[in-house]
Amino acid sequence: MGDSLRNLIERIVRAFVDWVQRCLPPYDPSAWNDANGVQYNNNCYNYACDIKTGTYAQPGRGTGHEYTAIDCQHVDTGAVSDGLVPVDCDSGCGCSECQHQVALVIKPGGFEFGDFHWYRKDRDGRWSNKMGGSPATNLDNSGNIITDPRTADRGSYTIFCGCYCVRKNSVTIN
Amino acid sequence: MAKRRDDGGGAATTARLLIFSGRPDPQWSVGGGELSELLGLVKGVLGREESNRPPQGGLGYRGFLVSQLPVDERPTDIEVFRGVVTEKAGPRTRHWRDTGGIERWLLRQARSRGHGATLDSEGVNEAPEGRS
Repeated sequence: MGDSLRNLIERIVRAFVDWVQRCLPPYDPSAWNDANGVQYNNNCYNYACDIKTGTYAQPGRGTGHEYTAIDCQHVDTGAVSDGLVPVDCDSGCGCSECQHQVALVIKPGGFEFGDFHWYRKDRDGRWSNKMGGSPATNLDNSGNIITDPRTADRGSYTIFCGCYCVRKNSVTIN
Repeated sequence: MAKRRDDGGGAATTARLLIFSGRPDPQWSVGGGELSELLGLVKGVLGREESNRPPQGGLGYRGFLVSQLPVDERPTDIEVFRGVVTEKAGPRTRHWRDTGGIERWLLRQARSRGHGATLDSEGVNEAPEGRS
């Protein structure tokens, strides 16, 4: 195969990969970690959806169905109302639609001390997250790169609920 | 998340317990005698013993953010975590050892405001500095 043909094939492959990845968020913590308004007023749900509202977005609030209990079922209902689509974690979101994958976990304890948390899958195939008003990171509680939120060290967020696909242009969060 | 303003027209000092991820963190205004007490602790720490930056916190307890603290009449934000006070004044960020027990003081404040169960759920207690 001549060099020119090889170069053409490489360019076509590169263009296809770029096209597939165009909708996946890059891991770019500097876009969130300003130690100021962006960081402090956007939480894990904002970061996972890759949408900065500055309102500490809550699942369902943007579409009038905010969760009424802190468990998988109720937070799921709010998220689905916002436009997130449940998906098998191993199947992923495919490349036919412009969307990326996120995952929901729960810290048990109800409204007294329970909480929810979201991870997102980035362009590099790894996962990252933003803990409330703290900086975005791709590390888990043990300081390891997150390759799978199901097996990551999640501290007291012991319940893994499932994965979702986020099409940014058809998701409404607030 | 907007900062409440105090009677004097300046932004009120608030303390925020950094412990949740999705839900809003507990936060409260600090004023009057408590503010004087906190300012005394902070002034005794800033500029005293420089420190390395604190470890990055994970899910769970990640310390406190105190906003609009009027240090020498200059609004200053500080974060306090694991015995390190991070001072944020404009673009400048510096780290100081919490020799004044600011973190313990804030933990007691959080408990007195009804957030003890939240702290307990993360195994946080008023341990010696650097061990919270």
